[in-house]
Amino acid sequence: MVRRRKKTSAKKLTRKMQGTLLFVFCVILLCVGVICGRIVYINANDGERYEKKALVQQSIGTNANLPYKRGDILDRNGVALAKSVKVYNVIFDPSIINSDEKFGEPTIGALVEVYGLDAAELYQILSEKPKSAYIRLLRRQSYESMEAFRALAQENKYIKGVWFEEEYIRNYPFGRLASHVIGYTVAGDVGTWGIEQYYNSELSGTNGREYGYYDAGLNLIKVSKSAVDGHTIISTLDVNVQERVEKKVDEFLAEWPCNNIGVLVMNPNNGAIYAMASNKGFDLNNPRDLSAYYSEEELALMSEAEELTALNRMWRNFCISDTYEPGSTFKPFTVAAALEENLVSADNTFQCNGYQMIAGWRINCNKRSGHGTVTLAESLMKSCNPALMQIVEKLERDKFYSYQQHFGFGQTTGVDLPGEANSILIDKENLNVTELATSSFGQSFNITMVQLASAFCSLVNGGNYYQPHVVSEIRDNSGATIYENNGVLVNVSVSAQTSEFLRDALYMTVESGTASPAKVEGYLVGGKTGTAQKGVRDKENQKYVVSFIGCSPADKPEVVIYVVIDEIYNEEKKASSSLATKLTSEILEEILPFLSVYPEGEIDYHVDLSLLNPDTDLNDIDEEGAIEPQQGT
Amino acid sequence: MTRDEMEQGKKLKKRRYYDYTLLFLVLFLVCFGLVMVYSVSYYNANKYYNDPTLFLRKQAIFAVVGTAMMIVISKIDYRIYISKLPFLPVKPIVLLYIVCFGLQLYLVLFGQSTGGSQRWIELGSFGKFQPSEITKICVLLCTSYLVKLAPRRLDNLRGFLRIFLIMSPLVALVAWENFSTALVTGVILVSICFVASRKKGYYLWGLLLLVVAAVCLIIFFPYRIERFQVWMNIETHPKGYQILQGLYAIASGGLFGKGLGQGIQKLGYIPEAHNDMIFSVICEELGMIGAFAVLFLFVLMLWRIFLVAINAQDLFGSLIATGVMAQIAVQVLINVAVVTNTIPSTGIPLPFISYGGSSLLVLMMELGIVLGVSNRIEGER
Repeated sequence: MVRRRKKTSAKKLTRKMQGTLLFVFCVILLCVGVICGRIVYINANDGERYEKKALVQQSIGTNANLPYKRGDILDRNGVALAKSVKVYNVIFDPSIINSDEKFGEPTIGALVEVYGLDAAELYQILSEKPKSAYIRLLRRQSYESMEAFRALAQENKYIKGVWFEEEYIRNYPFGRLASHVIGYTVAGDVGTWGIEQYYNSELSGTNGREYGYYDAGLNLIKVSKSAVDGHTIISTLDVNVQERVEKKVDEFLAEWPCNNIGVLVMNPNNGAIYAMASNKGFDLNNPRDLSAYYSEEELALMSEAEELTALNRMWRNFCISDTYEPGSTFKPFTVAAALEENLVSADNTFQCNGYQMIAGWRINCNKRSGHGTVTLAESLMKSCNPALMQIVEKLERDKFYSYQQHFGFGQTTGVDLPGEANSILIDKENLNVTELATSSFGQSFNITMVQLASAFCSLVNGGNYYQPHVVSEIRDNSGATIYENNGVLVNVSVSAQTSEFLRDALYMTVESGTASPAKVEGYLVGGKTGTAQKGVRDKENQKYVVSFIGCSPADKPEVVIYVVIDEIYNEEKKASSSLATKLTSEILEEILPFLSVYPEGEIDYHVDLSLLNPDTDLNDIDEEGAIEPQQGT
Repeated sequence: MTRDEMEQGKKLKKRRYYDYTLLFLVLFLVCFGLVMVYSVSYYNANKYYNDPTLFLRKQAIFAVVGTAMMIVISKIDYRIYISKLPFLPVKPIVLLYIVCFGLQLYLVLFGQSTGGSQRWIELGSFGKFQPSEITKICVLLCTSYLVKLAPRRLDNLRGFLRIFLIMSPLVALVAWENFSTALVTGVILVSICFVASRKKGYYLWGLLLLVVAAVCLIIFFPYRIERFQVWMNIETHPKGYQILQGLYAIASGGLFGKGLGQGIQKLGYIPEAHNDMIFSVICEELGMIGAFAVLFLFVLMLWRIFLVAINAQDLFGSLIATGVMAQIAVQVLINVAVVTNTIPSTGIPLPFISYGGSSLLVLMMELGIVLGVSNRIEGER
């Protein structure tokens, strides 16, 4: 057996073949040597550069912004007025999808199913940008749609290459409600009006970041710095009250078109503003939408400047930004000043002949025939101009001026909203007899709604002037209170006795005086009407601002309401303060239950009848009429 | 050669020789390959399939099956392939040729082309089967047999062409679907003939002719050869992405590397890093030292196969070992050269290490045949 093998092995590899094989082996060794040299060369020559490139493309993938959540704005009962909602951007990653032919069809199918995208377009992106890793298909998609997509991806493992990027958008659940007070944001987190602007730094947070870096040992260290969310703002607004106020304002505007209308509802005992409405407002979710004010054709014809003017007009908060002559609603302040100075008392009487001669000018009363003898309280009830002029005569220039300042009419109130205007008063030097006389009933100087309402609060609450405010509390994101405003007492404006007298007189004004349309069934309401001439005094085309300021319950006010209607376009009713008074009554009836002021079964508020002139015929009180032009004969 | 003499001394007692060193080298490389496949693939396997060990397990199954087949084949007398068997009308080697030709023809005619040429036959749950791998064994055995029949005829070009013509249908069919495999197959064929022929002048001429043809192609039609363009402008050409990412990996490794599993280039940057590009990750994670160690292991393996070829009992065995040595050498060299951008890219896996079942199985079967050749070496020589 061995022998036979030996014979066949004659065909073994010859020496020459062995040599050739050794040669082949040596060639292989040489090639291996060259390859090794090549590896060394790459490391030595391009090592650093290539390594950097490798690291650079790494860090691109690990850098990510973690957006902060802007703080919510809540009403006084915790209802969200503005909130930030997390939304998801859909990111398409063709480089992943193209890495396996099995991924394309199911992935695009799922995108079409969930988001209704065009499949052909997606395939086009896949073929046109095959290497791209970041294509934003859609912005701001809901959580639900993302969940739906993720559910599909769970079922089918070939759905790949779609990511979701988080972002926050600002959402105003009530749209138009309290638009001037809440304000809106641009670019998601820049507050541009109202609370959003005034408290922007509190509402804003700090973005977080996720990034990676390489330590000395070239280990990738991933760091995630989480975002710090903004603070939550609790406003003094009451959604229920604001909603009803705006509803009534809308109804009023539909019936009585006018230049401006403002309604302010406040808590007189701490200055908190429950509701603030100006005109129609605007949709906070779409603050540049003018369609509520103009037709499509009008909008199409508008120039850019015109559009901007229209927008600014729409955004303007009449309650704090516009000044006007208050008219008779100022009378309680003149009376209060005289009482404080002990220049008049409740039992003083004044004579009204229907007009008063001041420095040669005849200044009319609203009742041309004259009110006859009126008491101090009746001067308010009947809104008698000559009586007020007689009172202010006693006050004189210095005291009147300093009381104007004292009641806060000289400076802004400092309400926590942007855009507050200051009043325009007549300088002390120019406050001559005529100016003094007209000023006594609220003409010839301009103030803002929030100024008058805040000062009025102090008249009826016992004399405490609180700074008006719309934000009562700020909480950080752990829920801890970091700021609280339960009313900032600025000064004491009048004594308790004066305040009590005014409450009684104002109650009588509504109960049986010029403001009787403001009565609300079952409630004690006190208040004062106002009909003020506006702008140029012109007998033919005189424009008026009609208003009403009131409180309820009249004996112990919990709510102060101020309604101002600027330039009713209707010629017949343009000077009719009863429109404002009726509107107030309608609003009060709806909102009082929401402010914990409930109707009292039997009204047992007894006013000291000695305040009244025994001759007074309670049925003989007209609605406050127009005032003759001052430049009359 | 004192060590060889010592080994031969042992063999005198044992009578039969078995190259355990070679067996150990193969098993070591396969195990190292499994470790590297896991290191490279766990991230993407987890990301896309929620199963970090997916590729490792698949490859491990092939490694176990391959080891079993290698050992079984090494115990079979390799001369059976070329002897007439009582139950077969033709010799096994002829049968193998016919089967391979049939499979390749089937692919060319019926292969459903999905994105280029079809290289696989679907085997359902077994996965895919690449007939061109079996063809390598067929070419190896057939060429060795043909040369063994008449080694003298190879002294001139006509003898070489005769063998080439007989084998060309197979090589042509392989080339139809896959240039790289055809290249490896061609190298097996030529290297066997080269070693066996006594006069080698015409190889030199042939080589010269090839070089001239290649240079002409590059000079006159450079734009026709995109791979050449990519090779020259690796950092700017859009299709150089894969190789460039591999270069980043190699350059990041430095002398000692980042440590096993610590590489970052496999995290989605090198496409298909567990396949042909695995050597770049070896460089990144184990550094130049690791890369040289792997190359040194291959050289050791080639050396053992070389010894088997020198000492084989007959010419057929020697030529088989020669062919296997040439195949492994050319695959390693081309793979590493491509990864290091030394030559234009072509897809050839790194033997024993790259992920891929049929490639590993066939290589281990071939090593089984070589071990079988070593097993026939008798100690008295």
